[in-house]
Amino acid sequence: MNVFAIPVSKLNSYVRSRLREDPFLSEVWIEGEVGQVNVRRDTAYIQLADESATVTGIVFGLSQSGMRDLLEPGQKILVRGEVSLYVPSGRFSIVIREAKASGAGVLMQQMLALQKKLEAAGFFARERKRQLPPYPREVAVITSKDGAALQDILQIAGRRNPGVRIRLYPATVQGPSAPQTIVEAFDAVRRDGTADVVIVARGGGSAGDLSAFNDARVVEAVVRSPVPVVSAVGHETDWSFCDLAADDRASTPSEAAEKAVPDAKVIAAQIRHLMALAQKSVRAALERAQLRLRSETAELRASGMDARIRAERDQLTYLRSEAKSRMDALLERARSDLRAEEQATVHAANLDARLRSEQNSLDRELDKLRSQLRTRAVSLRHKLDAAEKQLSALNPMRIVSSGYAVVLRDGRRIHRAADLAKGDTVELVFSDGTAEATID
Amino acid sequence: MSEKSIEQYLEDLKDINRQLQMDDVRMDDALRLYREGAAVAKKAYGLLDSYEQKIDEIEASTLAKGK
Repeated sequence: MNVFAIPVSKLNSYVRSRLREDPFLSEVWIEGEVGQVNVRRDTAYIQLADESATVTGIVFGLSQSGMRDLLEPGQKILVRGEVSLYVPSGRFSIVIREAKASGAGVLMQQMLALQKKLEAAGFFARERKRQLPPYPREVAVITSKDGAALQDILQIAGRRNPGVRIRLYPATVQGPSAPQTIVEAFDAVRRDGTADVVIVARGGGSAGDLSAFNDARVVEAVVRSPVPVVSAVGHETDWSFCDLAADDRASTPSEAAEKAVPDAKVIAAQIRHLMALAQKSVRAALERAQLRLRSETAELRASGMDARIRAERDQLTYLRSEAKSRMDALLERARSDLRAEEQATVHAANLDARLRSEQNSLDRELDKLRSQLRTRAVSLRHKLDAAEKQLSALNPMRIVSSGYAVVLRDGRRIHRAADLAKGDTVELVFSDGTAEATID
Repeated sequence: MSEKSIEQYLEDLKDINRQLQMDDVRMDDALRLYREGAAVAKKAYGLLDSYEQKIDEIEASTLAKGK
């Protein structure tokens, strides 16, 4: 048969050229989820798929492309590139020029960025994890008051150890307000300060339902909890940042209760075991001590030491009694001295008070006396002034010094003219001398 | 013989004054009495001055002690 046939390679080359010439296929946007990724010599080969088909994407110069973080399995992305065909294999692929996150991929990218940030802050560090307390008295449960998670926890905790108190700190575990209420519940646990461990729990749900437990504020509250935290969010296959930050993770709320609340039967068994060990140990120690005592007693008797020890013990008893009686005597003397000292002090104080009183009395008497003396002096001066004034008035020479003369007869003053008779001889006294005169 | 008190001098002075007031006293006696009275008054004043000075001294010493 004479037909026109071309080699396979020519076919492939032809198809490739047609692809390049096609304006749509030379630059097309494709949406898909990243599957397997292989990297060889800075070139990435990725499987891009949707629900029913796959295509290979190639990224040349991966390290400089800025697309490395997007090319993670499960990531949904949008890529721009050209459709090309590899001639040797006849397979076509997309040479990717640009890529960006798509739909849920954006959220995933944000989650990854937050995860890196929280990891860098040390929130997920293994060395930060604390041991759960072996014998808690109170367990705080942060969850919805209406959810099944709370009922599961109460049931398991009650069965394992009714003595452990379960205290609910209600929170909204879904929706926009959920992170804030969970943080407030942690704050309340810190304020109350009675819990020994915290369970933060929520039943299963979609990724969106559980998103509150990926909130940075919730993660920070878990990390800052003063007591260890057990996280039980979603089902076993789910995971959240809250789980990563918690000190322990449980796959379900029931398992969280099993981890936080120790089984009373196990504790009782442990106590019985420890008591048995302690009894055995004490018994063995007593037996050893008895053996040693018997052995040493026998040795002492053999060496005659026991008689000496008895004698020294008697001596010691006597000395102790002697010392006690001397000490009692010394104490009694000291007490007596103290009493005498106290009495002397009281006496001295009384004497001092009396002296002060006497002094005051004396001062008052002195004041009184001084006042009386002054009064007497004033009175005497008045009287003396009066007497001296009278004396001056009676001065016999007072009249003559004023130019008058005193008439004397036989040395006595004549006060009236009727006392004189004719022929009487009188003496006239002047200030500068006397003269005689005869009454005519 | 101890010195007389101010009161005694005062009584002496009053007695002299009474004698001077008598009508029949002789002039020379009156002059003598007057001179005696002046002397008594002088002594009494001297004694009173001394007495008051002592009171002042006592008061001054009491005040100093009080301070």
